[in-house]
Amino acid sequence: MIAADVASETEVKLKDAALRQVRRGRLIAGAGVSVGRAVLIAAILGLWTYAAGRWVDHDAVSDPLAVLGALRSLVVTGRLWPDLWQTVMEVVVGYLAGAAAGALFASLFALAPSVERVLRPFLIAVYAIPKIALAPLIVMWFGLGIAPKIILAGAFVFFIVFMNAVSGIESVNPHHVNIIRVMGAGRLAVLRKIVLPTAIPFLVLGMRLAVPEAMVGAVIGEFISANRGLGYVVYSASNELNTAVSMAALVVLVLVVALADVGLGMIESALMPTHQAGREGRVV
Amino acid sequence: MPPDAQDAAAALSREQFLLAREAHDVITRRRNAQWRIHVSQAATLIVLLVAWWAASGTLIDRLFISDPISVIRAFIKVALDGTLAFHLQRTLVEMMCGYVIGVTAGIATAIAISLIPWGEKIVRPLMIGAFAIPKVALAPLIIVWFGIFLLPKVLLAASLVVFIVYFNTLAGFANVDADTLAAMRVMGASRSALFRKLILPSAAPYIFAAMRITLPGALIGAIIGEFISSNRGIGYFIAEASSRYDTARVFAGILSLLIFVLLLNLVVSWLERRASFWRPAPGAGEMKR
Repeated sequence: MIAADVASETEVKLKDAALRQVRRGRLIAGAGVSVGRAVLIAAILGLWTYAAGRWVDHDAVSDPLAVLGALRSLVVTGRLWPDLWQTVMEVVVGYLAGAAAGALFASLFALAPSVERVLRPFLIAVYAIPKIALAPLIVMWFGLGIAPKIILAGAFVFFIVFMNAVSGIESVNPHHVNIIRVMGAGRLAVLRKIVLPTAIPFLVLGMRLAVPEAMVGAVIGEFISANRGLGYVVYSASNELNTAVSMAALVVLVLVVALADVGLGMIESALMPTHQAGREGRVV
Repeated sequence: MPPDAQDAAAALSREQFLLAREAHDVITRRRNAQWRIHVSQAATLIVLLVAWWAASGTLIDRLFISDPISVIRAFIKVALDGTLAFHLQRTLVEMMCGYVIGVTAGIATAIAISLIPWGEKIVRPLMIGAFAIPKVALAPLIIVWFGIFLLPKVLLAASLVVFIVYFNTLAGFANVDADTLAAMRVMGASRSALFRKLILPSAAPYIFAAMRITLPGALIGAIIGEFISSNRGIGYFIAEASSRYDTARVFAGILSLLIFVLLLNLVVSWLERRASFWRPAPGAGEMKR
């Protein structure tokens, strides 16, 4: 009895020691990675600072401090806010409209598969055109205001959300539908119990992938014609060879996308705590 | 033949006959359904074209939407006088150069990073950050840095390719079967043998999947570059026509782009069928753009 206790005690001690060692190894690795990251970032920033004005023209590449200064002055003078507001409005309105339309059309297709079969080649054709090529046309149609940017952002979002939702609907297992049908389920029950649960992770994935695309749509619209917005700041500042301001606007633009992605991720995990399928297929 | 055997034979043949008829019915019904779909598709196309034609000049100003006949005429004109070939050729060159550079750089970076201990972990936040920057927004800066000729368009196209290839290649490396790796190690395989015989083959489906999904990205990069500054290429053709409000030419450009992309898809799927090992794991790196 006592011998067994002692044996198990040593066993526990040994296990503890092993665990501690593994943990320490992990800690060291973690510290190494953090140090590596810090060194790498410092090296890039240092190289950039050193090279600017020595190896490459300072006007063209600016330097980290100048970018930071430009960002500060954009914020302090308040020049940033109207541009930021404009772009955020374009992205948010375009995103919501595009995502809603994409989800709506996909569910219409789910309800009427014969319509889907007829319209499929048209959708594939429109999907195949790089949406960017439509930008001049949309600017031509909707003028120079905020509308063409919203529509461009919406068009980019629509196709991603729609295509993902449709592939979600297509991945519904027909056997499940047959079984529940045999059990006497109506059309609505099939939709609610089988189609939606299968399709929603795809839909959510599409909605997340669409966030940066909404920004791309808005920015392209602002490149082609605008007098306001972050894309306009990037474009006009780089035309004036004011690279620092151009990069500062780029930084803000990336921050907006990152914030939106984080926010959407939080909504996603709140909505579907158990469903992580939406993460599959993400490149990162 | 005894009477009941005769009956049985008759019943059997009757059954066969019924079965055959049923099968024939099913096939006919399916064929009819297929046919009906094609007819509906043709009808939809015709209705759309007629609506477009009827609306132009009556409901909507012709300046904005042109009409189908003018578009076809403009398309035939630019296709015949060589304008289209002139522009598409440049876009194709930009796109393919950018694509090849992007794919090569993506794979090479992934390999190099995997050779450095902790390398992948160290550069990960930087790579994700760089991946997250909308490359389109970089276009004006890239033009400032690399001029207005071929190079900026090639680099833009490459920038839309390289990260996805990089991340997918790494995902492929992570997918290597640990047991096989251990077994090969025990048998004394060298690092290069491990790489050639195990790691690269098991990463190949991921790399090919990335190569397939990034092809449109390369085209988009080239077109954005052409929008911002160029004097040649299909993006330039469309932007220039739209700035002159020559809507028929804009549509002709978009139509030619559509045909170009569909041809490209045909070539890709032909290549995929030719090389049967190009069979990516289902859903590997799938990403709709």
